[in-house]
Amino acid sequence: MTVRADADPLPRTAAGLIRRGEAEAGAWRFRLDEDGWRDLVEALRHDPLPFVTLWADGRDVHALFLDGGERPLVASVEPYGGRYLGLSPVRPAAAPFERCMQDLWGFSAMDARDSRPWLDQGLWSATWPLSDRPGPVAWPPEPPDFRPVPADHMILGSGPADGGHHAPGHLRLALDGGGAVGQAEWRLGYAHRGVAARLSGLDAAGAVRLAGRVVAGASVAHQSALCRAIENATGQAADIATTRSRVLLAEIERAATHLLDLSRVARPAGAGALAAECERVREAILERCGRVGGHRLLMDCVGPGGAGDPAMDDAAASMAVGVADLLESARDRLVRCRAWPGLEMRVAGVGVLEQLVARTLGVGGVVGRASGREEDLRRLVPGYRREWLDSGVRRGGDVAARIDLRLAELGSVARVLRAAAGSAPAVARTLPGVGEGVGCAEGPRGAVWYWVRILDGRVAAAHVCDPALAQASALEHVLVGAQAEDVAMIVRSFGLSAAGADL
Amino acid sequence: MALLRAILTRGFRPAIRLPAVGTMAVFHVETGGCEGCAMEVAALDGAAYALPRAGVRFVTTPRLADVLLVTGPLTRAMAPVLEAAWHGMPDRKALVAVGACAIDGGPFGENYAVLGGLEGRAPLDASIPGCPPSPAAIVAGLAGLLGASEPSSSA
Ligand code: SF4
Repeated sequence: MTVRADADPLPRTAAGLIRRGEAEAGAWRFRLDEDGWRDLVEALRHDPLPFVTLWADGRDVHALFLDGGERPLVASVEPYGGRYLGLSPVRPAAAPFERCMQDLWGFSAMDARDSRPWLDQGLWSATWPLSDRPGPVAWPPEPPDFRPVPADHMILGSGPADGGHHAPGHLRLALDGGGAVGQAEWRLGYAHRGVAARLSGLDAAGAVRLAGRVVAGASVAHQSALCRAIENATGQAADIATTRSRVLLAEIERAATHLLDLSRVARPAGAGALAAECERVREAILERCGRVGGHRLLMDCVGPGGAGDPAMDDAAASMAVGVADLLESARDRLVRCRAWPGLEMRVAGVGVLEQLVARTLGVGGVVGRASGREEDLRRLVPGYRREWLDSGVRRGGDVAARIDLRLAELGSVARVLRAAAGSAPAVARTLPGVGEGVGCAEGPRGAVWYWVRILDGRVAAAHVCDPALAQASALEHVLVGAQAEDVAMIVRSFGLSAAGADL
Repeated sequence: MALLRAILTRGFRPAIRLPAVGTMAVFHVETGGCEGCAMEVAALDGAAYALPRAGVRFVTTPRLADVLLVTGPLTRAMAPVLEAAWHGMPDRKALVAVGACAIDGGPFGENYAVLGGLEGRAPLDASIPGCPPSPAAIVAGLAGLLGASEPSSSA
């Protein structure tokens, strides 16, 4: 092999290796060849570059990282013969994405930690439905391929239809003789609707309307993240008024969803009074959103930049004041309900998510923060100030910490609503549009990311990343060792929505 | 029934206290939507509306249910599950679609993973439109199932 004399010395950082590729979208997406991708995977073994998400667009595979913890950086590679080198050996958080890509496009990750199907249960109308050449379906479908469990364990399955008011998913537990969980495994895909495929072909407004219906508890987050991605692609930033109302709406949604998740965990924890109080406060917030904003769950309340909506901005400001009042007046009662002595006994030390596991599997949001991770995308979102984002509560990673952090964040929502309503936010810098964009939001349950490619004013390809996927894989670890009767409570303390995991 | 109507006409009141009336046992299945409709059904089941006190109980097995309440578009993966729930119910049962998705697919019409709504696929005893319908609208739809004639202003 000859070495060109003028070749750059091999960069040592993973980010440097990505940037050596061919720039395809602004200065943030680079195409690597097979060798470049292999070097990247090798470098990621030692380089802590944070991984966000992995997807395909029919031709290429793309991996999104956060350079320096804040700048989106995408590495793209074209799979050769439908195969690419998997990231999961060096970024375990990539594993569920690899499995989804295998199901949707038939791209297989070499060296993957797990290559079993994730979304496709064999009931779709085609295999690899999003690839150029979808395949036929085998009938009858293959039975599920669960991990083997020890012979002396008892299997206990629940879902996908258990009478609960939540998206469908099946949780399979292997219990030892003492009723403790020896192994936990999800079977998901029941709620897969093909969101990414449906986004293709829509205009900006239609795409944002659909994004508002991806996960109802994070409707504003999904709408805003897609808007930011579209604005990034088209070089059209949101103005001050729009930037501010997105912050207000996001915080109102955070309060409503935190209250929902709190009531969902409080019931199985036996704290009926806390659950009831959360339900009443939440209903009062939703009622106000419906009356003032026109939609109880804030769907269709966010629009792409350029199309400012002064009526919506006024409504957001008015809702914000009302919601801040409601939260402040509810505060003492919520604190009293939390102090009920029986509750602490049920939730302390139960369902612990270790910080390292949270980091390895990419769990952020309330759950990640309750495990001591400093993960809050609001620091990257225009309109926020860093000093608004604190909570200062214990972070033991257990159910108690997740309850306490949500309660503390209800207080900070009220503070942010008051501060943001009266401030002139900094707006995003306008960059020249390159036809492709990345956008994010810190939803009530964690980071929401969108990537879009826009052609002639329409979405040509898109990727959606919701925190639920990482939460589902983290729960498989957290549930091990838990008592069977605590499982429902632990799962709900994550605020997991299968609608967000399946997409 | 008068009591169900009372919820409707008085609008939202936190924790309305209602003595039990004739009962309706509802088994709720979310078949793959955004959870918006499911969250509004959950609100009815919680302290804010306390629908169980009005006689509408949510049950955790189809074997005890009179009504199968569906939210979300019917995904291909959920179709066998929904069918099993329906056959698991005792006779004299009703099927109710709540929300645009469950009725005709709404934003999630037929594709490789989704069959669409229940309309035209199964005989519906009630459909409650909306994306999502409000809790009050869902109560109105359920009340209609019991044969009550609702004042039109309450829907
Ligand atoms: S009808 Fe609307 S709110 Fe209900 S599940 Fe479908 S998209 Fe969500």
